[in-house]
Amino acid sequence: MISWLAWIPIIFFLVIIQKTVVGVLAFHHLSVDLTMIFVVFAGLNMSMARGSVLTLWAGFLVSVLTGSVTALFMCVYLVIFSLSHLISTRILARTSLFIVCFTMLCAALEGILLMAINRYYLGVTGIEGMLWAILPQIPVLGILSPLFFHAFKKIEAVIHVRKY
Amino acid sequence: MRPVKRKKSFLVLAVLLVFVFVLLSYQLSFPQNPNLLRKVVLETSSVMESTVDHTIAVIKGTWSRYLFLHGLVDENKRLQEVNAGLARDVLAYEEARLENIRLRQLLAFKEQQKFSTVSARVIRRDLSGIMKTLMIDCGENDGIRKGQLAIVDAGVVGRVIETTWNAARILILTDENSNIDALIQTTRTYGILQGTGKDTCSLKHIVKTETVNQDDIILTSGLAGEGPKGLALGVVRRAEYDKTNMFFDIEVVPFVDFRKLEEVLVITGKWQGTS
Repeated sequence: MISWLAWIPIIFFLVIIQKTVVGVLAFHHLSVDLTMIFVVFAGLNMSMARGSVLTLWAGFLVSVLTGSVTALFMCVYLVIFSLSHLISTRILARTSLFIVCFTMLCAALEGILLMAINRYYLGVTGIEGMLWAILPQIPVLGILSPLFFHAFKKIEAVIHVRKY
Repeated sequence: MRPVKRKKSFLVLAVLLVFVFVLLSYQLSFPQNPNLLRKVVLETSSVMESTVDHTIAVIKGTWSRYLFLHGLVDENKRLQEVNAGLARDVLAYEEARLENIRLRQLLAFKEQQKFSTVSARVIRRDLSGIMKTLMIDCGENDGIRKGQLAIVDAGVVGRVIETTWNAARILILTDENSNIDALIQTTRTYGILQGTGKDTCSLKHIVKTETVNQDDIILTSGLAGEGPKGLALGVVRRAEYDKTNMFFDIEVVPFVDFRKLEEVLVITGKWQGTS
């Protein structure tokens, strides 16, 4: 149970960091969705039940803090989690190269989903600006992903849940 | 993971996906005020964000101050260099101004004289050696010859003792080898003004029957063809005599401050009578 609960404040803290520190470090020119890396990590390394619940929690937090519709990021993250989880059953995702590539793929997918939902589901027009916010973060997330995967694994080790 | 369990997992996942899509549709169809959980999250996050923001602001402030101070060091160094340059400029301008004043005085003095002179710049002074001399930047090519007197507006500087084509050496009044025919202004008594090797001169051959007072002015006599009569030499500081000697012991302080000389006039041409 503790392995479930421990992640809740950690994700919360991650979202806060994502909204504050990263903005400062990137001089407010780039938004980096660090939570997405966690979602990929959860999909590749956690059980379906735990991972999906934590993904929904992360999606909820990001939705709330970005001021978007509550279910928007829950939906997007759950799709990414599903894809990651599906991949994890077929591939042993251990190498950094795979993590980088897969994270970049997921970041691109997130962008496509967000734009698609905004355009066709929420009826938002003029989503070109969104494209320029999404594109730069794809390589950044890819580069950062091995580092965060390492950190998440350390956290998992600390809370005594070692699935891998 | 067993196939049955895996199928079950993906079924749950599919259900969850459907659930969030339905939720999304519902929220879009029926916009609601923020629910309690959203409010709690926002409230908590705002506290955390403000804490993190404050921490970032402190770090940024510290960094900015560091950068500012770092920039201040560079700026200070640059300003010091600028200041040094400006100080040099000011010094040069001040030098030029003072030189201008001196040259104007010299020119005015030159125009007052009834004899022709050549103005020269002192290029070296040797006031503590065996011979107390000045080197000037004019020589034979400028009409300067051995024996001519060098003067400034304050009085006589000395006599030219050596010349080259473009330079000349002047033996100043206070040198022991300097001897100039002189007279006391008030009593018109003649004597020889000789250097003492210190900062003063001694007026020789004034018999004790004459009257010599302190602060009497000593002038050139114009005898022996040394120069015009009446040029200021110095002032009597002390005049004494003893019974065993027939002459006064007279100490004369030259009018000219040899240590501050920068330009002089050398009397080159003919003169008539007194200056």
